[in-house]
Amino acid sequence: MDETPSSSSLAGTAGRRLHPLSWAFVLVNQLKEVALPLVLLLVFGRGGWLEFTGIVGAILLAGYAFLYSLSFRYWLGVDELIVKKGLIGRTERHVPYARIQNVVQRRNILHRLFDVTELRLESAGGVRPEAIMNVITVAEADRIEAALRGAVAAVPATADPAVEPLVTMAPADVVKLGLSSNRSIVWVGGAVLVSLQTDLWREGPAADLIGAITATVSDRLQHLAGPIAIVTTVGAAVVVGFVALKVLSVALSFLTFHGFVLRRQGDRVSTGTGLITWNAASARIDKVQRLIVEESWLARLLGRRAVQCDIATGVQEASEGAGGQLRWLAPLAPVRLASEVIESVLPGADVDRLPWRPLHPKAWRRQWTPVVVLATIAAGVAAFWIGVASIPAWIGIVSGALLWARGWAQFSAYAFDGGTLAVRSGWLARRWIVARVKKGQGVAVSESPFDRRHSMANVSLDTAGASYTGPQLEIPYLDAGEARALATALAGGIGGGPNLKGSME
Amino acid sequence: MTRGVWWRNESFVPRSRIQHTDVNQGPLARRLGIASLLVHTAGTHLAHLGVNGLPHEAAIELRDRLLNRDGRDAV
Repeated sequence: MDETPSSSSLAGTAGRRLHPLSWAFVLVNQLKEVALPLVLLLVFGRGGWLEFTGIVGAILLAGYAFLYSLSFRYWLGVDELIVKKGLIGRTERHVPYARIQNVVQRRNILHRLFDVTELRLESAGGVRPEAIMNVITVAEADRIEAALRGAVAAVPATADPAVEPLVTMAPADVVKLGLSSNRSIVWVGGAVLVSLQTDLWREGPAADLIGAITATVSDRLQHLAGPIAIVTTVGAAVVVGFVALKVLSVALSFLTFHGFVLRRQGDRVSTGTGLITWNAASARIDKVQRLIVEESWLARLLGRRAVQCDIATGVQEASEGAGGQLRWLAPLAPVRLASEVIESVLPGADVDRLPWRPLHPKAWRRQWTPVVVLATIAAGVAAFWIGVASIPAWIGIVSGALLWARGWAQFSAYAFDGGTLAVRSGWLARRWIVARVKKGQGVAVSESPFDRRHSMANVSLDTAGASYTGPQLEIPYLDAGEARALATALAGGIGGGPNLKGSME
Repeated sequence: MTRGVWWRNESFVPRSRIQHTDVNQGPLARRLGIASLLVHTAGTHLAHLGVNGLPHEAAIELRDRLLNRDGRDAV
């Protein structure tokens, strides 16, 4: 201790500065928000005062970014990081290494050109990261991470790349991931919504293209002889659309998951991924709140599963804009490897070995009935136009739904072994959600009028760090008595027991 | 906490999971002497749990009882 410099003596030294080009990256970050209006102004502007103000504003921003990055200095102390920054109001912040929960590195194509990176250090509290270093050289980021590893995890600060990766994604794996997922549908849907909001489809080159395609198709359809030709044309269109969606999915998968790697070192896991923007993130394993395992039907044919996790962190900013948080443990891995990953993060939570218990025996009827009711109403309405033809359609939908409901109820189940709660659901596409009960934040039992008629109830366990829109750890269609017993056991298990220390996140 | 007539919902949040609590009173509520108590957790779907229409004293008393005084909270 005597030989290492103390914090106060460190602050006397010059400290380290950001990369000389930092101001450019700060500027780019600031301009991102005003980029679109600025470009529109420059393209469509008529040289008025508005345009002039925009340019002056941009110059002022650049000056501010330059001075800000000059003012930013940091020191790596024995057990804490010291950051000094600010132009008018100077801030000196001491961040103990032990408080830093997540380390996120982000490199887009601009960062890669100059071999620099943006480093974010996040703690459990607060809305913003404790420190954002935008930008420093990759070597310097490695040095900081090594210092953190040495201090936080008390493991030897070996070079990170030396650790054998647990999961990697070869290009062939990424192609499989793209094929078995439907990420493109969200994008296509979004594009359709945006185009409906704007006039893009009424005038301009996009509108011309759409008009030409519609004209050709309707022209062909008019000249087609007989229903067989129409069926083949429509069939071909569906196939082309399907292939286009899958190609887009593969491309999107490459953007996000090219070169994916997961490493475990001591009590931390770290991932790196991305084709154009490289995202590196790491987190302590005991901060993992839930695991979500998913398997689409094509992934099951390939014998593969996806594993993702929720990490507890108070930093909301990272989960929104920057997207830097650790989320994917294995985007698509062979079942055995997926089990290894789960075992490594939540020992004893392998989804294939949990003591699964079935839902209420009538669960399939609850899934099936709404479809039957809706299909009957729809068929009744449709009968006004298509007459008795709605009867075979009704039979088809209702029997298809029966198959789905029986399959769903057969697979869906829950498991509770005192320490771990898990739920699985699905038919062709399957999903498992696993959580440690002591990490829970709250338990809810809810009953809809239909639940009460069948004396069923729904139990859910709330955890920190979960996505509001994502799947919930929720067990539907349980026998009401069983649900109440389960909820009582869960409520007792949350944060309780002797191991309260460090159990919040 | 229990609520709902047709859609019934019961939520349990252990005391050790309460991050902080709010007691709110609007102008009208102040005249009538009622208040609402809001309990915040670090969770997602149960992040806020509220009771409306409590008498003000009862809300304060409930809050004082809910607050974790044994210092076992582990953030």
